Amino acid sequence: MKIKLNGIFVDDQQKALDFYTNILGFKKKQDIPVGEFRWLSVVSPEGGDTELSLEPNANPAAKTFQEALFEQGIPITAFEVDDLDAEFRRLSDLDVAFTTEPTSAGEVTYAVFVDTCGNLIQIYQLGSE
Amino acid sequence: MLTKDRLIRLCGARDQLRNVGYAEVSIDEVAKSAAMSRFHFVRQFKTVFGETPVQFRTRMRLDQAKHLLIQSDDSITDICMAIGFSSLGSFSSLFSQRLGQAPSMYRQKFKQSIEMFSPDCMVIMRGAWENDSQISRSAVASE
Repeated sequence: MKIKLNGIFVDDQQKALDFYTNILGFKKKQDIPVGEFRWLSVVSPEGGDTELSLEPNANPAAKTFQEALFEQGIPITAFEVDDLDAEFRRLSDLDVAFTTEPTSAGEVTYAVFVDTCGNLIQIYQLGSE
Repeated sequence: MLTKDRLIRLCGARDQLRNVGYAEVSIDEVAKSAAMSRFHFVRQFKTVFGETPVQFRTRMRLDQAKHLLIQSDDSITDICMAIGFSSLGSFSSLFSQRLGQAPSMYRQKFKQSIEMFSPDCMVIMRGAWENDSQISRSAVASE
């Protein structure tokens, strides 16, 4: 059994594609029309073949779940980075809003930002001071 | 840094902007309720939600239009007015531009597909309604 696909809800798929590719730097993997929506996924350019699906939050249950986490400040998922401080500076320069600046938590340093699609995303660096 | 308090105020503003049509409040009023100047509010809203308040409201109007086109039998003119557009031409033009088809075509396409592929819960509910109406008719007939 392998984890090859993960998904998050987004409030607008085109806006999400723009953010996850142009700002975060992921690459588009799948983009297949499904009715009025799309089967849309991105992958990391740094290797690995796990896809992140950007799913529409059209279902009211999905929207409620997504908004509750967002308003409580809870990240929907987390991405690993090699250099958290550099990534924090790069994204800040691109006007990405952070709710948590780089913070040490023992073996991990993490930060949290807004993905403009209704989610908070955590980025973390392992093994940092 | 985006504080939790500011994030919550922006979420509240987003909720207000979701009310489209007759219940709409102005951007200035929404900014005021979020305790920000209009300039700062628009800038912060775009940073957090990826679109300006006006763009967000337009998207909400179109979402509401899609819902009404599928779920109701209201005329397209009535739907256009109900979601806050003052001109049928501008509504149809924007709808076609964003959705790739005119409102009438959208209704035709998706209403049919929903009737063909009703989820189980809808089928069950429809069955319940039909049973209710049969019971009602039986009751009327026996009176």
